[in-house]
Amino acid sequence: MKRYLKLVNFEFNRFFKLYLVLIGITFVAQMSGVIVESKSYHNQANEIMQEDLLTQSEYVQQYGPMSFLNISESIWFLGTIALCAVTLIIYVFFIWYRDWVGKNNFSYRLFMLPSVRLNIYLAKATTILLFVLGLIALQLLLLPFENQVFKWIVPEVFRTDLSVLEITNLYYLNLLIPKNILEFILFYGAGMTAVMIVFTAILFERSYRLKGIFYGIVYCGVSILIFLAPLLLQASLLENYFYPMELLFLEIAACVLVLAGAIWIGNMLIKNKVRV
Amino acid sequence: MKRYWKIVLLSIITLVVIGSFYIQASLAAKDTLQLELEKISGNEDELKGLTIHGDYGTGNLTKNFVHEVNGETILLNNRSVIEELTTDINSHIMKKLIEEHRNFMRGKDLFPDYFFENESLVVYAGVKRDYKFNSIDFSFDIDVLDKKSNEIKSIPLDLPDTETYGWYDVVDVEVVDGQIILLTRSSLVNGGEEVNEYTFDLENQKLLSTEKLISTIRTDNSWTELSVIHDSSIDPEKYILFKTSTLKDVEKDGYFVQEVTGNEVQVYNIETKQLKKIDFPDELVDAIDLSTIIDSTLYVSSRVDSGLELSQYDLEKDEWGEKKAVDLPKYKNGYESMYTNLMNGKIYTAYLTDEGYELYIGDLRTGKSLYEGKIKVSNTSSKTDELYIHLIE
Repeated sequence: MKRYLKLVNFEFNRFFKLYLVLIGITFVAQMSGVIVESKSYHNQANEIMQEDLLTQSEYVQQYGPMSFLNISESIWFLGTIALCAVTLIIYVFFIWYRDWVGKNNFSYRLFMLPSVRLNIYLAKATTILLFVLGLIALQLLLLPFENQVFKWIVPEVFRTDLSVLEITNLYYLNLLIPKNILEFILFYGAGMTAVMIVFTAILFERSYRLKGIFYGIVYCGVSILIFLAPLLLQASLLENYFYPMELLFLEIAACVLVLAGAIWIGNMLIKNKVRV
Repeated sequence: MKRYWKIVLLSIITLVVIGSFYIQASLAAKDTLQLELEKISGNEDELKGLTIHGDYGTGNLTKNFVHEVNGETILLNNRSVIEELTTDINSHIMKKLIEEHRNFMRGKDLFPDYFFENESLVVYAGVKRDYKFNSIDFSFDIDVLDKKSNEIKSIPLDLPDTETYGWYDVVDVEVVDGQIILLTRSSLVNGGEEVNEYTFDLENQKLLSTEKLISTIRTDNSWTELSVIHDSSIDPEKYILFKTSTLKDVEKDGYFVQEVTGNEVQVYNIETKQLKKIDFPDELVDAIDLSTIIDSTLYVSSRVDSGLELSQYDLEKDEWGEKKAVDLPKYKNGYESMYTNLMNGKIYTAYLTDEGYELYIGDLRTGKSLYEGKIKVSNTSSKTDELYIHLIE
């Protein structure tokens, strides 16, 4: 256990500086987004009101009020979220390959550590999970501040106020932040399963190199097929035999099966086959 | 421990932020919109089992809700993704059938029109559609559940000439004297519609006969619109109504407009297999969608300035009876200001007054009021609100 925690801490610190940069960019970009979008709405409103001689309430009637949705749908928000997502997806690969590249072959030292090698695999997965959840927490922390800044800039007549909860319910954000904790666990559980499938595929490549790429792709295909099996059967052979709730449980079971498969195969590869 | 401060700090912050967000979310979920009914007169027992569907607008956000009277108001937009997939808001009838015959109901299309239930049987008749490159292969999917023995019998039947049909659907299933009767509605590829009747022998699961009840045609500038009107219940029904309106493209001041050139209302007696024309006054034709048949009397409800008017027609004697007025003195006439439904021998109407929505329940046979009450929304923080009711079941 202690070895595992040490490994997690080690992996965490290796990415921490870049992670802080990511947090910084998100903070600055989103805050500027709030200010720019709010100001431009307000300025545009003032301009049109002067040109067309409208009162504030007439303007709102004709052009509609502004809500936080205008901001959270803007490139400022979508961009930062996409940036964080892409960075972490790249890091899912880089967290392994960085051990093999560079002057001194670090993987050699890592695999020589006197602990179960599976710990390395699990520590890397834990690190990715921590970073992902950290960014979700950051978004949840930023939203109330951003909402407040928005309220300061745009006068009340022009606004439709939304609570943080309502903001997270809207549009794409409800995929990142689902409405209840159970769903949160299911979503991120499925996400982590996907990460572990990629990990195991990477280990295939690291074990068998060129041939391993092929093995890895086949392995991913099989995993996805098992995961989707209940849905595919339901749509084809079984003709909607299962009720929705039953299907959900079957999907969870399929996901657990795939996850267990990923860890088991990953363990075999890292223990016996991986090449330094 | 000192070496770990960064990771410990991040973990704690993450846990606290996400944790408190979901605690807040679960608390907020409890205290949302709540619909309440305040009695003005009548008997509150009339409200039992009633469900009200509607929209509630605040500012530029519209919330879609389902309210079970004397129970919870569920905001449909507030459900999570999984809840949306797993909690079906099917009609009461379908829910009850699933609860009682869970295995039989597997893989069925859950439309009341496809089902029939009496003391001893549940019959399902759906249409299977096999999508081909430029046509659809239609076939019947008929299952009969014997309630006592729990035995399920299936009657497979491919429909002939399916390439001539653009669409094929079952509109009603009945069981009369050991025969299953299916009424189907289909549209033809080259225009026009048909209503067909299929009779099956329940004992031997064999097709006995098919009969074309109604067929409409389409010409270059005129066509016929067909409506099939019957209660969406799964209980035995004796009558079904068909309305056919002929429309024509007419040139008026250089524009083409559609004009109704004729209406015909027919009633089909499923037991005696008799199709009869009803002499329908023009002003009631549009109201026919809001009608119901009790015993052998057809009730049609139409909107008038002072509320509603109930017309009744005796299907055996072929004559119109006396009209009854449902006076709703506070009714504010306007766009989408009233929703009416006739079911269970009663009339249910939710209508807008100057002080908000009111609900009226009356007996169709006697025309007497059974319940009147105000529909109120509580638990809302909004200043500007709009309520709109679009279904009572």
